[in-house]
Amino acid sequence: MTCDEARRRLDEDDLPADVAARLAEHCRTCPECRRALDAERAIRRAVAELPVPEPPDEYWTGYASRLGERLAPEGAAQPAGRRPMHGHRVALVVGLAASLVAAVGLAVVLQRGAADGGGHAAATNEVAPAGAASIEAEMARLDAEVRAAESRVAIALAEERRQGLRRRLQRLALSPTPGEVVDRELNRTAFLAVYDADRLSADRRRRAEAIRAYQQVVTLFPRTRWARVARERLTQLELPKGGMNHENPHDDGSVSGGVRGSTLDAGALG
Amino acid sequence: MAQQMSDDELVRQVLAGRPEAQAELVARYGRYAYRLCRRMLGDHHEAEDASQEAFVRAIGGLDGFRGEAPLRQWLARVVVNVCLNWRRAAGRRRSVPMGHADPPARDEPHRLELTELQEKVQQAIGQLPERQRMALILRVYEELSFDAIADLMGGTPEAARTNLSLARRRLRTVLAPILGEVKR
Repeated sequence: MTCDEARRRLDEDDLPADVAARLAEHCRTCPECRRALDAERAIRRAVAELPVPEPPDEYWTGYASRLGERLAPEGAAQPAGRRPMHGHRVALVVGLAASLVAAVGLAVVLQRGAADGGGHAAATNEVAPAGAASIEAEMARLDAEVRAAESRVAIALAEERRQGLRRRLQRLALSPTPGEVVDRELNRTAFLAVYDADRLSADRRRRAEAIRAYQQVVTLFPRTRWARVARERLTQLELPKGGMNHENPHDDGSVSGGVRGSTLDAGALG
Repeated sequence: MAQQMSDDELVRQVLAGRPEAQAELVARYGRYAYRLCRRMLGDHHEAEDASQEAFVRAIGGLDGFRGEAPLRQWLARVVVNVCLNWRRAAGRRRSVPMGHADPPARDEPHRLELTELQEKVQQAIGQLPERQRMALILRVYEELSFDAIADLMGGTPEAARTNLSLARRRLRTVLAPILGEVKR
C-alpha cells in the first residue's frame, strides 16, 4: 500500500478486513502514516465521545406543554386521521348538521306540496296556491333555523379565538421578556411560511402559489430575516430560463448524490 | 399509558386523536429529537424550536408512517428535513454556532464543561459544510447505515459515504496539527 492510498483509507468507514490489515502493515513501516493513523483514531474517539448539552429534567415538563401549545386547536397541527372534536369544531359540525336538516326538510316540503297539488300540478310542475303558501312558510322557517345555526357557529368560533388569544396574552404577560417572545413568535411564523413556500416551489406546477406565498412573507413579516430570504427566493423564482441556478449549494466539495464509490462492507479502521 | 405499548400501537392511538398518546410520543422521543436538532443546529433555542416543529409536522403526517422503518428513524427523517430547511432558510451559513461561545441566556440549559480538545472538536464539526456535518452526525451519533443516511438526507448511499469521508478528512486537517498541544 502506498502512502497516498493509506491516507485515503483513513477517511473511510468499514474497511474490509484485508484492506485494514494492509493499512496497519503500512503504518508499521511508515512513521508519517503512523502518526496520521494515531491522529485519526484520537479524533474519532473525541468526536464519538463529544457530549451534547442537554437541558435538566424539569425542562422536559415544560417542553411537552410548550409543544401542546403549538398543537392547540388553532389549526397548527392535528393528527392525521380522526381528529379530536374541540369547541369550535363541535359548533361547526352542529351548524353543518342543522343546514343539512334544513335542506332535507325543504326537500320533504317541496315533495309534499307537489303531492297536495294533485295530478294537474304534478303534470305541469305547478303547485296549488294553498300548497305554495305552506311551502313558503316552511322555507322561511327553515331559513331562520339555518341562520340561527350559522350565528351559533360564528359565536362559537369567535369565542374560541378569544380564548386562544387570551391564553397567548396571559403567557406573554407572565414572560420576563415579552418583547423577545413576540419576536420569536413572529420569526417562527415567518419561518413556517417560508418552509411551506419552499415546498410549493419544489413543484413546478405550484410555482405561482409559491411566489404568492413568498410575497406574503415579505408583506406580513417585513422586519424578520425571513423577509430577506423570501425576497431572495422570489428573485430566484422569477429568473428567466438560463439564469443562475442558486439551488446548487454544493460549492464546498459536498456531494448530493449519484457518486460512484467503493462499497466497503466489512472491517473497521484500526 | 403502558410502557409496553409498541410504537405501531402508539401511532394508531395518536391517529385516533388520544391526547395521552401524543404525550407519550413526546415523552418517548422528545429528548431524542432535541439532541439531534442540537447537534445539527448547535443552538439551544433553535434546537427547541426545530424539534417542536418536527413534532408538529410528524404528528400531522403520521398517517404516512407505514411501519417499514422504525418510528425513531421515520421521526429522524422529519427532524433532518426540518433542520435542513432551517439551515437553508437561514442563508446556508457554513458554520454552526455551537452555543458554548455565546453568553448564557436566562433560560439556557445546563452548559457542559468541555475539555480543550472537545471544544476544538466541537468548533471543527460546526465549521463543516452542511451535508458533511449531517452525514457525520447521523453516522457517528445515530449509528445509521449509509442506506438510512441516504434515505434521511436524500441522495445515494455512496454520496453519504463520500460526504462522511470528506468530513473526516477536514476534521483531520484541522485537528491533527493541534492534537499534541491541547488538553484532552
